[in-house]
Amino acid sequence: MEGLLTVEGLSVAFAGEGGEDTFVDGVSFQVKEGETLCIVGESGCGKSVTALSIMGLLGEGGRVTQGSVRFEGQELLTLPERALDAVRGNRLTMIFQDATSALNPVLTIGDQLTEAIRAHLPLTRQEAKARAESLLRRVGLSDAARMMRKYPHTLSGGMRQRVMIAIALSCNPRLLIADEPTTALDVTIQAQIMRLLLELKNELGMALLLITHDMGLVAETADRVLVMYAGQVVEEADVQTLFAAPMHPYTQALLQSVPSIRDGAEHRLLTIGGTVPEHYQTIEGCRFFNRCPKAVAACEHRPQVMAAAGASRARCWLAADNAQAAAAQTETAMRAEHAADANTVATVDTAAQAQAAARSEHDAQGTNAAPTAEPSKPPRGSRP
Amino acid sequence: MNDTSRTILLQANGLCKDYPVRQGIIPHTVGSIKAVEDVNFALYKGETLGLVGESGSGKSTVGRLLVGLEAPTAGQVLLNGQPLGLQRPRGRGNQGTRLQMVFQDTFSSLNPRKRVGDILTAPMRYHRLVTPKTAWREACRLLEMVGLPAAAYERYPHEFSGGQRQRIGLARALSLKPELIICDEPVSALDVSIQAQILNLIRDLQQEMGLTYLFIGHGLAAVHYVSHRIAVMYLGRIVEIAPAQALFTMPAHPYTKALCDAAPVADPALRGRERTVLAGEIPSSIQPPTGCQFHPRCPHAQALCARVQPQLLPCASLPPDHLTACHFAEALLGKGREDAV
Repeated sequence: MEGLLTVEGLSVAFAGEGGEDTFVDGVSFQVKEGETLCIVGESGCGKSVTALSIMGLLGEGGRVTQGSVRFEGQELLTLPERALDAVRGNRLTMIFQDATSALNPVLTIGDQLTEAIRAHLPLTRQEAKARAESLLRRVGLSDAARMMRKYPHTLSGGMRQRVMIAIALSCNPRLLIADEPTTALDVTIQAQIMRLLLELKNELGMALLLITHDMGLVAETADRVLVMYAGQVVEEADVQTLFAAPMHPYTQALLQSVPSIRDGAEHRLLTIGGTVPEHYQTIEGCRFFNRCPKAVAACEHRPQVMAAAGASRARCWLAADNAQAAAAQTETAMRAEHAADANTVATVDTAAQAQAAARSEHDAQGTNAAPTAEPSKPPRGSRP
Repeated sequence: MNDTSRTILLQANGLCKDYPVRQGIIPHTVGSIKAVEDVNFALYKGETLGLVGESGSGKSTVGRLLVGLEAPTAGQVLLNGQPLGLQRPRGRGNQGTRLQMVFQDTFSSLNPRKRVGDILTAPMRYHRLVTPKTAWREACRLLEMVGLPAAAYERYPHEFSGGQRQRIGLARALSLKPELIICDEPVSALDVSIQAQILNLIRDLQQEMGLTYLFIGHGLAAVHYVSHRIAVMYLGRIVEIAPAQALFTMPAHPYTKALCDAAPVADPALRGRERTVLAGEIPSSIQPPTGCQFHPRCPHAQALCARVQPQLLPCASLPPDHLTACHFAEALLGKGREDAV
C-alpha cells in the first residue's frame, strides 16, 4: 500500500570544491497516514537536508540528484514551483528549529498567520482573521486578539514556536515535518511543546515526521524510527524493537552513550570512539567501519546494503546476529536485576550463564575481528 | 565519598548579582535584573557539585562570579577559608590559579590565531610555572592527559572537531594545576556520542587528580552522570540542593519534580508514565514574582507562597544534607509517599 509520503532512493548533492558532494545517499522511507516517524542522527548526518528536499527548500547549491518523493500519490520533485506552492504550507507543512529566523521580523503575528490562510483557503480577510485567532488559542496563546498585533521579537522562544505551529496548522495539513522543534527550548518548555504537538496530531489525524537527535524524544513520540549516519539510513524499525533489540552497531552505541536520570553515575557511558569520517562519500565499504566496535576486516570494502529482518531493516550484514546479541544482553541485564532484587544465588548463576552465552555469541561474531575496540574501555581520544 | 573526611574547599556566602537595565535616548537606569539572589553553597574537596536550571536561572552567572569574570553586587566567597578577591580579579595573585573555567563555546573561548601549544603554555608562562625549555614537555603531558596526540601542539584550534576543542579547553584549565574547575555547559554544544567521551574524561580526570568541579548544565541526565551533589536554580536562587541520587528519587521542591518529569526518558515502555508538565514560562527577572518565585507556575501554590519567600532549609523527613526552599515541601513529600503506596 502506498503511504502518505513515499521517499525512494533520494540523493542530494551540494556543490563543493571541484564538483558535487553527495550528502544524502539513497534514502528511502514511507510515512503512513496518522503515524509518527522519527528521523534520528547526529549533526551532519543528512536528516535536515532530507526534510528540506522533501519540501523543495534546498536552496542555492543543493540539488536532488536521484530519487522520488511522492506525497498523496503526487510526485513532488518534478512539480513546477507554482503547483508545489499549492501543496506546501497547505497539506504538507514544516516547522523549524529556529523559530526566530523562520518568522518575518517586520510583520505582525497576525499578518503572517492570515497570509498563510488566505494563500490556500478561499476566505475573506475577516474570516481569515477569525480562523487565525482560533488557531492561536488552540496552540495555547491566550489573549489571541492582542497576540495578532505583536511582532515576533517581543515573544519568548516557546511562544514563537507556538506561533510557528499555528501557521503550520493554518490549513488542513496531512503531514507535519518538525525539524528539531524543541532543541532551542528549555526542558519544561520542550515538554509543553511536545505535548501540544502530539495532542494536535491526534486531534487532526495528521502524520508527523519528527527530526531530532534526542533518543529520549524518540522513545516518547515515535511509532517508527529511521536512524541516519553519514548520509545514509542505517536502521529502520518500530520504536519498541529499536530500543529493545537495535540491530546496527551505531544504533546500539548511540543508545548506550546517552546518560539517563534513572541510571545516574553507576554505569559508565559507552562512547563511540573517533568521529564521522570527513569524506565519507568516497568510502566504498561501511561508513561506520572506522568507529564500529564489531567491525571485521571485510566491512572495510564490502558495500553494505539494507538487510531486512522482520519489520526492521539495517545496513549491516551482521545485523541479525547483532540484534540477537543485544536482545540477549538486555534480557541478561533484566535477569541480573531481578536476581539482585531476590538475592537468590540460583538466579544469579543462571544470569551469569546467560551473560557468558551472550559474550561467546558476541565473540563469535568478531572471530577474525581486526580492529575491535574494547567496548567497556574505549580509547579516550579521537586522534585528529 | 566519606563524610568524615569532607573539607570545605569553597564557600559562597550570600552571592548577589544585579545588572542595571538602562533605557532612553539619554540612557538612565530604570531597574535591575537580579541575575543571582542570595546564593549560598559549599563545595567539598574532591566532589562535583552540579548546578542545573533553565536559561535565565543565573547558573552561568554564579560560575562567572566565582572565577572573577563578573564582580558580585554583594556576597563573599571563601577559598580554603581565605576570602577571594572578587572585585578585582587581577588582585587575586596566585589565588587565581586555583580556580579555572571550561566554557561551552569552544569557538570563542580558544584564540583562533594561536597554536594549541601557545594556548596551553600561556597561562603557565604568565604565572612562571614553567621555563621556555620545560613548557613544551608540560604541554605535551597535558595533551596526553586529555587524549590528544602531541602533534596537536603545532596546530590551530580550527583544525579540530568540537569534541577535540573541548579537550583542549580542559587541558588549558588543567595547565595551572587548579583545585577547582568550573565547567560551564561543557557538553551542551556537542553531539551525543562525543558528549559521552567528554563526560567520561571529566570523571576520569577527577579520579586521577582529585579535582573538585562545579558542573553547570541544563541537561539533567548529563549533570547527574558526573555530579555527587546537585543544586537546582530558578530565577537566580537555589531552590533545592541534595545528593544527586536523592534529588532524582525524592525531589522535595515542585520545580525539581517538574524538571525531572520534563526530561524525556529513552525507554518507550515508560511513555505513558504520569508526569507534571508545567504551565507558563520563566517570569522576567526584572520584576520577579513576590514571595516564592516559582508560585505562578507551581501546581501546589497557596496564598502563603505569594507573600513569603521560603528559605533553603533541611526537611524533617529527609537527611540533613537535602535542603529545599518550599513552604510545603514536607506536606508534598508525605503526599508523594502516599501516592507511591
